[in-house]
Amino acid sequence: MRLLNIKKRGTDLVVIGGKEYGTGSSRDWAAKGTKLLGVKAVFAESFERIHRSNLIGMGILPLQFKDGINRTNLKLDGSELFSIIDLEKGIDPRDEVDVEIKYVSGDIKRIKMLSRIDTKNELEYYKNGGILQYVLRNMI
Amino acid sequence: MVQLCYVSAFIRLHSYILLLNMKPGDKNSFNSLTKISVNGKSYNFYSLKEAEKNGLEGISKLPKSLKVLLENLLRFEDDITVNKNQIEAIKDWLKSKSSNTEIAYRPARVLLQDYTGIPAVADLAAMREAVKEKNKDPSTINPLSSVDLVIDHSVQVDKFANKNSLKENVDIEFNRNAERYSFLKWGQQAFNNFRIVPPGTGICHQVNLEYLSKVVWNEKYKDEEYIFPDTLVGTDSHTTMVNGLSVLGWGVGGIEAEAGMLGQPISMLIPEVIGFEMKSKMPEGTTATDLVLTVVKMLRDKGVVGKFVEFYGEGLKNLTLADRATIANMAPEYGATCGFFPIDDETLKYLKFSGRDDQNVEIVKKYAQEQGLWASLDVEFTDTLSLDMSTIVPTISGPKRPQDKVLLTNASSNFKKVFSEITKKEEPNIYDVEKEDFKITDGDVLIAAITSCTNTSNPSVLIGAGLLAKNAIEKGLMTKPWVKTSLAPGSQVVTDYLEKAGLNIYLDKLGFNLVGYGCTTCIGNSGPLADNISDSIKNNNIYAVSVLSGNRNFEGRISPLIKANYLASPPLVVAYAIAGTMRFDLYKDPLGKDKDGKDVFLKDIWPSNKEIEETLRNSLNAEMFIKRYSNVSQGPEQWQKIKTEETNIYNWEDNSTYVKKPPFFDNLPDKPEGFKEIKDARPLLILGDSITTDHISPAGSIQKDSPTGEYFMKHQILPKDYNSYGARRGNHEVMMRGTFANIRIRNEMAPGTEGGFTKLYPEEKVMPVYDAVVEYKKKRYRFSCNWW
Repeated sequence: MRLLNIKKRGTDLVVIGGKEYGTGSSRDWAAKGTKLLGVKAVFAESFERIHRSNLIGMGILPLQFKDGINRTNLKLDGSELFSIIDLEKGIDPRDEVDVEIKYVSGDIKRIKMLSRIDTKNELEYYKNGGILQYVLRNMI
Repeated sequence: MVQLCYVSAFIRLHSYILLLNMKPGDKNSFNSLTKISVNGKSYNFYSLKEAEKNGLEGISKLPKSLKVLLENLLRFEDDITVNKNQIEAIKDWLKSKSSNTEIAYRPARVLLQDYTGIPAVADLAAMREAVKEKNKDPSTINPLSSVDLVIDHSVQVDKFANKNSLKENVDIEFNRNAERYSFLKWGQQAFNNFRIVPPGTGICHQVNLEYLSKVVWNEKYKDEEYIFPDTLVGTDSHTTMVNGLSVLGWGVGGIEAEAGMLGQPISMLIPEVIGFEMKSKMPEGTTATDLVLTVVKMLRDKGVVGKFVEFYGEGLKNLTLADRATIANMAPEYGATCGFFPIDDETLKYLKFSGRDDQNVEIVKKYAQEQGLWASLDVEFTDTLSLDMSTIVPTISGPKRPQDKVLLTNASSNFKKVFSEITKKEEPNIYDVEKEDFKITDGDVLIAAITSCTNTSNPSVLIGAGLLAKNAIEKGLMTKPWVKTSLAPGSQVVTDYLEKAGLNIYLDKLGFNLVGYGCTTCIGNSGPLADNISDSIKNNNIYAVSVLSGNRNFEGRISPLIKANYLASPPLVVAYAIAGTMRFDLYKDPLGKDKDGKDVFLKDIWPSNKEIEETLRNSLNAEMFIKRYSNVSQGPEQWQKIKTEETNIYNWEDNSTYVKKPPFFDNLPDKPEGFKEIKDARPLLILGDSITTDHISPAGSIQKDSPTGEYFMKHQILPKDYNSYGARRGNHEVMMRGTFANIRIRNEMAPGTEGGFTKLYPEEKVMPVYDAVVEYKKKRYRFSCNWW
C-alpha cells in the first residue's frame, strides 16, 4: 500500500487560483487543455460560472476556499503537496471536504474547502470523467 | 441468426429513437399539454394558459423571454433533469423579479461556426470510434437536435478593390483550409441532424436570421406534431442576433454546445429581465448603427451582465426587423445574455418577406397569440429603462471599446484628444511611403470595411452606403489611396439587391468591391496591408486607424498594425474612406470639390430616408431569398470538388497538423470510474485574481520559442504557417501545449517570469508549463517501473 502511494506521488496535479477564476469568454479549450495537462482539481477563491461547469464537464474537480483562506495566507509557494482526504469514498454536491497541505518544512495543515460540484447531474458528469463520457456511456 | 436479426433490429430501433430530437418529459404536472389548430392542421403544444389555470397563477405577466424558458420546462418535465420546483421557481420569480434557482434548459437547436465547430465534430468522430471499439454500431452517435455549421470564420481579405477580389480570396481560403474543410465535409455526410452551410455563403447569424430560424419550431414525436418556440445556443457570441427575430438564443462554450447536441440540458439560473422601452422614432439621417451604439452605452452604464434584456413599447413598430437584429446582435457588447424582441406584425412581415412558407408564418401568429408571446405592455420586469429614439444622432464608437460612444459631431475633436493622450504628441506627424506619391499621417484611416453580421444584415444601411457612394461618384469624389476598402456582406442576398438597385457599380468605383461572404475584418481577418504601407507604419509607429461597420474594436482585434478602431454605420465607413483620416470633421470639412469647383460636404451626398426606402422597395424581394437559399448546401465549385470518403468512421490523417483525433475517449472503461483519490498532488500553477479563459487557453498568436513552436518545428511547419491557436482547435497536441501559455499569464510559483512558466518540484527548475507536465508524467513511469 505504501509502495502504491510512492508510485502515485508527484504525479497528480492541481492548479490554484484567486477570485473569479476562468472569467472572460466561454472558451471550452480552457477546460479541455487543463484536462489534457493532467490537472485533477482547481482550487480557487471563486469561479466564473461557465468555466466552473466546463471544468466538471471535463472531469476536473473545482474546490473553493472558505473562511477567507487563500493562497496568500496559506503562504503557498508551489513546493507543497495537496491531498483531498477521502475523496475516493465519494462526495455529494456542495460537500465540504478536508484538504491536507504538506509543507516542505514538514508542517501539515488541514483546511476545509467547498466542493463546487453543485448539482446531482454534475456529480454524474464528474464520476464519469466528464460530460461527454457520461453521454457516451448512456448511448452504448 | 435469429439473435442477430434481433440485435440489428434493436440497433435500428435504438438509432431511430436517438434520431428523434424532441422527446417530451412524462410528468406534465400542470396539465398543460393540449392542441391547437392552424389552417385545419392540428398540433400538440404545452399551453401556458392551461398551466396558469393549473397552479402557475400570474405567469401571463412574465416577460416573453421567460415564458419561452417556462414552456421549455413544462415540455421537458421528467422529474430527473426538470422537476416541478424548477417550474414553480419561474412563477415565484414574479415575487422578487429574480431567482437563485438553477433550471435545466433544452434549446431546440445548435448553431456552430467553423472555429468552434471543428473540435465539436472531432469529438463526435472520436466518440464514434469509442463506440466501435466496444463492438457497437458507431452510426448511433449523432446530434439529437438540429445542428447547423456555417463556415464563415476562415475567409480573409487578402485581395481587395478589384473585380477579381472575391474569386481570389475564395481560392486562397480553400488552399489554406483544405484539411479543415475536408474534415467538415466528411462530417456532413457522416452525421444525422447535421447540416453544413459551405464557405462563401454568408455569416452564421445572418443565415440564421434569413433562413434557418422558424420562430416557432415544429417536430414530430410518435407520429404527432408538436410546436414550440424556436430556441438555440450557438458557439459564437453574436448568436444573440436572432433574438431580433424573437428566437431566444445566445453563445455558449463548445463543451456545453456538444452536450446540448447530445441531449444534455443547459444548466442556468433563472435570469433577471431588464425591460428596455423604445419610444418614438429615429430622426431623418440616422441609422440603426447610431441607435445600437447608443443602446450599448446605455446598457453598459446600467449594468446588465448575466441578465436578459427585453424590448417593449410603442416605438417598436418603428423598428424594422433588421434594425432589431442589429440591436440584438450587440448583446455581448452591452453585456446581457440576450436582447429579446417579442413577436409582432413586423416579425410576420419579415418571415413572409424572406420567403418562409405560409403555414410557418401562420403557426407563428397563432401560437404567439395563444401563448401570450405576442408583444404587449402588461409585462413585469426586474427593472426598466427607456429611450426616446427621436434623440438619436449620428454616432460612432472607439477607439477601443464598443461602449466608447462618440457623437459624430465631436468625432474629430475627440479623436485629436485621444491621439494626444495616447501618443503624447501635440500634432500628428507625416511620413513617406516608399514608391508612392502620397504620405501617411497619424490618424489616417488605413482600413475602411463594410463588414459584419451586425450591419450587413440590414438592407437600409447597405442601400444607404450604396446611395452615398453613387452621390459621391456623381460629385467626382474618390476614396484615398492609402485606405484598404472592402465589402464583405453576411449573405449573398445583399449582392442581389445592390445589383438590382445598380449601386454595386458605385461601391466598386470607390474600391468597395466584394471580397467575400464571411466575418473577415470584423474578427481580425482583415488581411495584410500593402508592403510599403505596412513598412511605413511599422518603421514610424504610425497611429493608424480603421473604421468598420463591425461589433467589436478591442485593441489589436482588427489588425496588429492598427492602433485605433472605430465602429460606424456602412455609409459612414464609405464617408471616412473618402475623407481618409479620423482627424476629419465630417460636418465642417469639405470632402472635395465638384466639377464646378464647389465644396462638397457630407450632407450633400448623404441619402434621405425616403430615397433609401424607395430604393429598398424596388430592389429587394422574397424571390431573392428563396433563390439564394434553395441550394444553400451546394456551395462554391471548390467546395463541391472536395472529395471525402463516405464512411461513418473518420480516417484521421497522420500528418495533419489541423485535425487530430481527440484523446478524450481513448480506452474508456465501460463503467464510470467514480471517485479517484487525489493524493500528494503538486501544484502546476498558483495564479492571482481574475484569470481569464484567454490566460488559460489563448486564442491568438503562437510563439516560436515555446513547446508549441517546438512541436511545429518537428512537423516542419514554418512560423508563417503557424496560424492561430483559434484555427488549430482541431489539434489537441497544439492546444495542450498552448494551455496556460498566454504571454501575459503570471505564475506565482515562478516569480519574475511572464508567460506560461512553472517550477518543477522537487528539482525547483523553472520551465514551460507543458515541459513540466511531461517531466511529471515521466516520474510516474519511473516510480511504477521501480515498483514492478
